[in-house]
Amino acid sequence: MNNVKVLIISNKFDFTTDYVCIELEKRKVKYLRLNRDSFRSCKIEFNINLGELLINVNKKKYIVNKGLSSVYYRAPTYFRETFSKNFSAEDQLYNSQWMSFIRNLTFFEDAKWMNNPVDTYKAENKLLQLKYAKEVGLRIPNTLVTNNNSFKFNNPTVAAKSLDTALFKINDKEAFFYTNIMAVEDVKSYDIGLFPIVIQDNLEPKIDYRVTIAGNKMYSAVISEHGKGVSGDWRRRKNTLKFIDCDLPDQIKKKCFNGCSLSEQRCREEATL
Amino acid sequence: MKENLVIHQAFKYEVGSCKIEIPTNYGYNAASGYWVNEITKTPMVRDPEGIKPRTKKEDIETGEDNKGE
Repeated sequence: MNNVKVLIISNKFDFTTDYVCIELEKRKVKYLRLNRDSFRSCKIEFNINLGELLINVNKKKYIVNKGLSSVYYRAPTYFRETFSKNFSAEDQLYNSQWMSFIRNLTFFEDAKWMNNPVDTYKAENKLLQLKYAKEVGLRIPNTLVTNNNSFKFNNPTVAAKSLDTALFKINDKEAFFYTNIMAVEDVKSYDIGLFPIVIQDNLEPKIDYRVTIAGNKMYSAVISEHGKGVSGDWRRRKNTLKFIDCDLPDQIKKKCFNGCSLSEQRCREEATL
Repeated sequence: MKENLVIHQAFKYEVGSCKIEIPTNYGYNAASGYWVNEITKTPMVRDPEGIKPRTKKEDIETGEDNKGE
């Protein structure tokens, strides 16, 4: 029986995870990679009373228990695609039930998680994130969430966003709603009564950054197009962009670290309630 | 009044296949957790002919970059 110290939840075709496994193997760490698209080849028995998860993968037996030190959850976002493809009943249930199993691995809450589903759930909610950003002293744009066509907003040009990722099927095509920079009057010319959307200040010019914090380390990258920031939604023009390592001002770094500490503190408080 | 903003302004695209074709000389080693060249035993991501991780730029916007399934 192999005691698992590091559990990796990924996808068989996520080759970036390969590098992590190669390194763990080199360091002789006891790890197990579980792939969301390959659960059919594994058998699990999770005894909740004992706090022991037995996993049988390709005739090798593993045990996950309180000795688990960390979990690396790759690409952890919420599964949204069930609607858009013609999944069989088996596939729909495979997706929903195994995803629930993964979420329930938070049972091992003493392990150090990279992308704990509880945190990810909060991270996927824009309004809560804006609140937290403001709490740690980061400036946030004026933001209004509304389904009222007669809304009032201070600036004549706005960034119109969907509240959640808007991925949907329309006729035979798939559709994705990017951030749209629009005049307020243009927004109002459409019906927005069906569901709320996000109206924000259009930040122009702006520079997009991607910041990742792991423990006490920060990795930041600036998204640049021809040496400048990107106007509007950068995802529309990915082919012309560069992601460049960068260092942020100390004050901003401190606020980002404070944001993570605040999040950890909240989790601890919630756990003790 | 025009139709719903999100529906009208969304980017529409044909549903493509995201299937990744792995060359036949590579296999996934479940015990190690990575793909290997089955002849040389070299990890695929370190093999000159192997498939490398895709960048964020190549993701299709699905809300979870097609990896959350």
